Amino acid sequence: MATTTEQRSPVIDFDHHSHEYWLDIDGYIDRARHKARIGWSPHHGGFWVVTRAKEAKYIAKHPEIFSSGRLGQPDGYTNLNIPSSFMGREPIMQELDPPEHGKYRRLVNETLAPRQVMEFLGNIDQWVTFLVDRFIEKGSCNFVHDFTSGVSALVTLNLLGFPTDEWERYSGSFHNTVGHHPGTPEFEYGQELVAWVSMKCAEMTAERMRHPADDATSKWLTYEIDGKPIDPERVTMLLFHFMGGGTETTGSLLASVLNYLSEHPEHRQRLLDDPDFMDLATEEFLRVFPPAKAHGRVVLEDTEIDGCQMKRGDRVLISWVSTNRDEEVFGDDADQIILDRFPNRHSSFSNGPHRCPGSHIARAVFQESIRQILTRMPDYRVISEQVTRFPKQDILGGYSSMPAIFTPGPRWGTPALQPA
Amino acid sequence: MKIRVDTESCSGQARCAAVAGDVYELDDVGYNATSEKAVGEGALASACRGALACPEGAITIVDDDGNPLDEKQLRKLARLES
Repeated sequence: MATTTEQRSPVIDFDHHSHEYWLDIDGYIDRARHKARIGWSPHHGGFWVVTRAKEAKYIAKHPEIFSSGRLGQPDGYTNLNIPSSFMGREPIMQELDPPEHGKYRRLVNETLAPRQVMEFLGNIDQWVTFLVDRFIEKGSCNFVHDFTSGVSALVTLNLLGFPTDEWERYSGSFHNTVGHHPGTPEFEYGQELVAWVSMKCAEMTAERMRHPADDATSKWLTYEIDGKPIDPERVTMLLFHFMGGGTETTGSLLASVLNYLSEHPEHRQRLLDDPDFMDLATEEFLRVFPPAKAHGRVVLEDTEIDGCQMKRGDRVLISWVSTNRDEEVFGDDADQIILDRFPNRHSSFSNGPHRCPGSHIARAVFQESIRQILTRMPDYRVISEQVTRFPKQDILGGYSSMPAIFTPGPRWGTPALQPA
Repeated sequence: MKIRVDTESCSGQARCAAVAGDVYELDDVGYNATSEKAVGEGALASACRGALACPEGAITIVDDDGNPLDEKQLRKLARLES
C-alpha cells in the first residue's frame, strides 16, 4: 500500500470534498489544472489528481495499469471514490477490469445500444408525459422532486421489465445517498433505499429464473460466460448497475439545464425548432454540466506519466470536470458555454472500456424531457433564490430542490403507460 | 481517401454515426462496424466530421499516400473553417 510519507510530486492542494470546491467547482478546477497536469494531493490519505484530457484518456484506456478494482481496500470497499466508501460484498460492474468486464459489458450494450434506444423512444415520451401531467394544471412544480429525479427511474424500470408502481422509492435511493452527507437522516434513508433496491434486483433475478418473460433480465439469464451458465449473482449485479447508473445521473443534467434555460430563455425556441441545434447543445450541456464529476482508479504496477512516479497501490482521481474544460482540447473559449460548439469531445460519459453504457438513452431522455417541458411550459421560471444544490459534489453533481412557476396548461390525457 | 478505425479504441460512444450517419455504421451493440473503408469525394466532409467528433480519437482519415490528416485538415474538409 502506498503511504503519504513517500515522496510524491508535484504536490497540489486539491480536495474535492472541501467547501471551496463546492462553492465554485469550475474555478477551483481551473486553478488546479493550471498548476499541474497531474498532481499529488495530500488529502484523504493521498492521491494523484488528473486534470488534463490527454492523460485522463490514457489512464481510462489502460485498465491493465490503472484498475477499477479493489486493490488495497478493506473488504467491501471501492477505489472508485476517494476516500473509499463501502460498496458491498461483491464488486459492482464499474469495478470490473477487462477481460472480466467485457464478458458482462456485452450484455449491457445489447440492451442500451443506439438502435435499442430508438425503439424505446415512444416509451420515454410517455413517461415524460405521465410526470408533466401530474403538475401541469397547477402552475407550479419542483423540477427535482416532481420530474428530474423520477423520469430516469421510470424509464429504467420500464426498460428492464420491473414493476413501476414503487418508482418513487427507486428514484429516492441514489438521490438521497449521493446528495447528502453520511450521518444525516436523508443519507441514512437513502442507504436504506439502496439496500432495498439491491434486494429488489436479487428478487427480480430469482423471479425470472422461475418465470422467464420477454425482458432483459430473462435474456441475460440464458447467456453463458466462460462456457458456463451465467452466475445469477452477476445478473443481479447488472440490474443494480442499471439502477445506479440510470436513476440520478440524467436527472442531474436535466436540473442543471432547466436552471440554465431559466436564466437564458433566449435559447428555448431554437432548441424546439432546430433538431441539429438540440443535438449540438446536448453535447455542450453535457460538457459544462457533467453529472459524474470524477472517478477513481488504483495503480497496479509502478509507472511514470509526465514525470510523476506512480507506485502500485497509489490512488488516482480523474476529474472529468477539469478535462471537459481543458484548453488543449476545447480552445481559449473552453470556459464559455457555446451551445453549437463542434467538435465537442467531452468526457462526460468517461472514456475507454467503462464509457457510460447508458449514454444513448441518457441523451434520449434528456432531449425528450427538454422538448416536452419547453413545449408545455414555455414561460417556466425557476425560483432561483429557493434552489438548493446537493451538499456535496465530489462524485455526482446535482440539485436537491428547484421550485418553478409557469402558466398552467392542460393534461395530455392518460398515457398508455402508467405505474403498475 | 480512406477511413481507418482503431476498433480497440472504439468504446461505443457512437458520435461518428450521430453526426455522420451516412458514412459510419454501428454494429448490433453500438460500436463502429468497420475498421477500414474508402471514402469518395462526396462523403469526405461527413467522414471528417465523424472523425472530429470521436472522443476516443479512434478515427483517422488517411490520404491516398497513406498519410493521416491532422486536426486542421479535418476541420477544413469538414467545412468548419475555410
